[in-house]
Amino acid sequence: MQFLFVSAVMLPLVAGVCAASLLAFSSWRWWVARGVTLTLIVSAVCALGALALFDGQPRAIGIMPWIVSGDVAIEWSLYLDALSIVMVALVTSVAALIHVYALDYMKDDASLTRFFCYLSLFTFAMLMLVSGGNLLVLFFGWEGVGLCSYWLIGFWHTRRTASVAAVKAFVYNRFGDTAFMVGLVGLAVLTQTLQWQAIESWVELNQSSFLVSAFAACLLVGAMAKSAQWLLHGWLADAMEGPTPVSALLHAATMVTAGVFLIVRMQPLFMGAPIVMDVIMVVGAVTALFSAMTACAQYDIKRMIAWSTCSQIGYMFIALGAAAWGAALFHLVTHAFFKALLFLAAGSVIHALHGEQDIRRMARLGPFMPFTFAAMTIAALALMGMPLLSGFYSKEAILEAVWHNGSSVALFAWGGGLLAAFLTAIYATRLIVVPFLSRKSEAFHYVRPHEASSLMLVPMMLLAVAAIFMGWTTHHYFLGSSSHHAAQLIRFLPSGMAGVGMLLALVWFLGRISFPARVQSWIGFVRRGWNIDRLYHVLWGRGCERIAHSCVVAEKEVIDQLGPDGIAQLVKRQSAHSAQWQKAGLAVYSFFLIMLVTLLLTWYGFTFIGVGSL
Amino acid sequence: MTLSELPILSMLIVTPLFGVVILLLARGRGEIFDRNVYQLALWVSATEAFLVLILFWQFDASQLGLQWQESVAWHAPFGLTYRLAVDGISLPIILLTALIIPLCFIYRYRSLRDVHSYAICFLLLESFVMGALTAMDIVLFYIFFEASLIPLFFIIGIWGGEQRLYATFKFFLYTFAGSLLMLVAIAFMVVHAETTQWDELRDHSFPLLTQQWLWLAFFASFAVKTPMIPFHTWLPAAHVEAPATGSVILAAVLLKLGIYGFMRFSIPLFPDASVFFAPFVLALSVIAIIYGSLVAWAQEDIKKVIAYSSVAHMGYVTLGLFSAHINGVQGAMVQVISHGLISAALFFLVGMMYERTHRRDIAFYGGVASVMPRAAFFFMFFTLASIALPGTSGFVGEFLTLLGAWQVHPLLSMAASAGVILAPIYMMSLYRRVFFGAVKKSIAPLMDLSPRETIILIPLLAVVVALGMVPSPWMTMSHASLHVLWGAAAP
Repeated sequence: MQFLFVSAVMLPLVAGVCAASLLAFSSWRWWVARGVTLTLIVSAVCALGALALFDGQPRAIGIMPWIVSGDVAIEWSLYLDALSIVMVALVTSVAALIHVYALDYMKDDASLTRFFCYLSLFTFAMLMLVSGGNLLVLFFGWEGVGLCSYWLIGFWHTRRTASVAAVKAFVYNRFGDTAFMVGLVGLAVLTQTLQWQAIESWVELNQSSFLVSAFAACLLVGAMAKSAQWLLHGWLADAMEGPTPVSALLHAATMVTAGVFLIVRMQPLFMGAPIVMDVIMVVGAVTALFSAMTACAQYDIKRMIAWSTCSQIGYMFIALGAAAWGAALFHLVTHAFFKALLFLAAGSVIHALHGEQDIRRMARLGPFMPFTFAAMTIAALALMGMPLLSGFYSKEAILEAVWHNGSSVALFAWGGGLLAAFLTAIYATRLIVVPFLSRKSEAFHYVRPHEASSLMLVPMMLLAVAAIFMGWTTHHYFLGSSSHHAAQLIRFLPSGMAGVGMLLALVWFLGRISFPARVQSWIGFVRRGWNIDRLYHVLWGRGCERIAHSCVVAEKEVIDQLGPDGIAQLVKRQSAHSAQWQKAGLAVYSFFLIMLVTLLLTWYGFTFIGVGSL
Repeated sequence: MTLSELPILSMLIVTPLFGVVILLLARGRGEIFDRNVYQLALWVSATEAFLVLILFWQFDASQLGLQWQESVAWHAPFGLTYRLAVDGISLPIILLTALIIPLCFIYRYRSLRDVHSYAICFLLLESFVMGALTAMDIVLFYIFFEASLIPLFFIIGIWGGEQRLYATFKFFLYTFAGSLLMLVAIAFMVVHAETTQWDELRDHSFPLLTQQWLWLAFFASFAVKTPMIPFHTWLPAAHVEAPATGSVILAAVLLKLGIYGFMRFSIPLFPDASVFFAPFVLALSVIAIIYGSLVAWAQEDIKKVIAYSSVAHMGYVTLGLFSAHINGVQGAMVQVISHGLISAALFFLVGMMYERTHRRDIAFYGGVASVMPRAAFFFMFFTLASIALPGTSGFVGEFLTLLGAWQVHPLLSMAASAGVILAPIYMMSLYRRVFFGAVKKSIAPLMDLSPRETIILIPLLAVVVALGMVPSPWMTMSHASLHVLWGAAAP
């Protein structure tokens, strides 16, 4: 079982390294891509096997020492417990399906090998993140995920927008990592090994100390950047520049869920910092609401889904803040399946329309691509939290847990989550209605769209099955059989809100209701992400740039002037000055000569002849 | 004679000189002659590397003191001796030097005038650097330390860019001015302690006030060499004007002499003054990390970006070193080696692109990744190592120095963590502007890296990964020496 676990984690690395070494042989790219995909499938099978055989006994798998210095001794190690094995199974299975999908989606790209290399390394980095035996190995995966996402977002690197988005994603992530690094360094000094048990026992020894809250806050900032939470969410919508399979992988199983995983993994630390827990809940609620609103205003199909991810991760943060770890993880899992499905279906649409992403230019696709339509519908309904679909169980569990928490912050989060469920229904309905059902308008006409190939449909179908059944088959596993249930009204309120939202959206989009210009401009403001990007650009981008430029000026005008250049000029001026003496005439020279001789003679007279003694 | 009786340190100094003598005897011109000169120099430096490997294998990491000692009385009246030895402080830097110099000879310029003198300069430099790293007589060290300036003076002055004269004089006078102060201090010490031997000077305790003055005099020399802010302005100028291999040698080897000086002389000889001045150095280090990164961001010249990133990276080194904690000191040593490898590789890569285009300004480039995928791969790798991604040597160094800084004060470590966000900003935007985007017309005809150029980069990559993934075997090499570096003086 341990062997299966380790091979599930390591196989994507093998695949990635092999693909990297075959980069130069571009004529083999098809075979490389198939080989990588096959390896990923094997990895997923291993992971599922390990999950089935798991006996509930957590164990650390040491590999080799990493950083050993003084008291600090950190090793490369994996950790096998219920949490990591679920995550490994989830990541490998979703990744394997997306690899299969990408085989067809990317088949015409000349850099196929590079794409599959990045994709499998991305998976590997996420696996290291979830299975790391200590915080530093987790950080290795954490940074690896950030790096691979940078590569994949900028995959079409000749496009300026893609490369800018890639750098933006990386820099946002590194901003969070700066805080993470501070926490990491502090914890390393205090716990020496950074192992989970060591951190736990350190927290136990230092209950309610300031440092616990400080470290929790540091890690929270890192998690917020990685999971694109409010104020650090700017990179996620731009990350749509990458190919669609990348978006699917990035939003479903890897990358954005890393922040949630980190907090779940570090729960002893966060439990010791109640203030930080409240902050998490508020951040989650604000993100869920804010991004759901922004998603409603989007025109780009992928951006809509991207903002939806932000919003759903917000739900997970709400659950984390309420210490409902099981519910958070459960939503992470169900969300992974239906979000991957949404993206793959969207990719199928984009593929069929030859790269068109604007939903205003889509209409009546339903009859042409019934399978994609079905997949999108299932995913959207699951996203809304319609009863019996997977999203229903997890979302309900989160809101119920928050309701039970009872504090005023929790009540705020509960309200936010409820409102977000309503908004979610609006944009999710829009995703189904506008591209697939609405009447074709006269303004545009496109070539007959085609249904996706079977290589793309098979992963979509498997994901659809998971999106339907994942909820009621596994909710006992994640949530346990909780003894107290809230009133039926509270439990079904989210799906009720979603139903209202759906009806409203149907009227809105099928009835083609348009808004007055004043409202339109507000919607535009919301669509641009409330201009937060622009604000950051002015505040941070320009500000720092100005500081940097003034540093350059200081370099030349201050440091060099006080240092070498200034001294050189001074010497030059002085030597020019003293050179004047050399130019003086005979009279001056003879004057000095006579003076010198006189002085010497006088001195000689005083000391040696002894004039003084007279 | 067994292996351990071999005067291997003297051989390290003499072997390149031997190459120089052969080269001086050779006369000729033309392509074939140039190629032979390159070959000969490569063989000489490879022999040197081989000797260093013997030294490395025979080195006993568990032993605390000096090893491979050689001593010959030299000038009895002043008590000067020709005394050489290595320990865990010098050995890593010796290894680095022995790795980098052969790579400089594998690197070939398309057209370089007077390859003959070029090779002589590099071999002389190698000899002097080896001398400075092994000398255990303070006057001998001073001689080698200063002598190493001369070959570099010529390398930049003869084979440099357009403004090479300004750069050379700035570099030479700046470092020389610092060194003169050190010479005065050395004279003072020799007169008072009546010895020039390193270990005897270490055991001689000067009063605190004297120590402080002497420390400042040594600091003047080593801070310029390292370089620490605000004594760094010679570095970008020198890097920009130097030929590719000149920049490599400057970044990878010569800057390390400054750090070596701190480790060998400033801290052990003046422990109390070092403790006294440590906060001052720590403050300068944090300023270097932040200020260096900001200035690097605003540069328009690729070489200047890397030069200022060197300033920031050396900030980490001094931060770790003067944290006076074993984590920080070991981190400083890893960072020294790591920065040597990474900046060498980056300067090689910039040189390879310069050879093709004769341009260094970022704006000229764009879309290079499409025409030079192999160069893009290597540049990406070393960019990532430079921004200290886990798994590369840069991360081990940075992480350990931050640990050391935390031991001094958590706020210090937090301030230094600013580098975590600043480094990717300038390196990634450099990479994006040069390698990504649509292929510019002027870029389109460029050829990708030749096998020869690739061979230069592969060993650097391998060592960066090895140091990043399994640093502990390498770190044990210097563990014993670094452990006692701050001795009882540690605050």
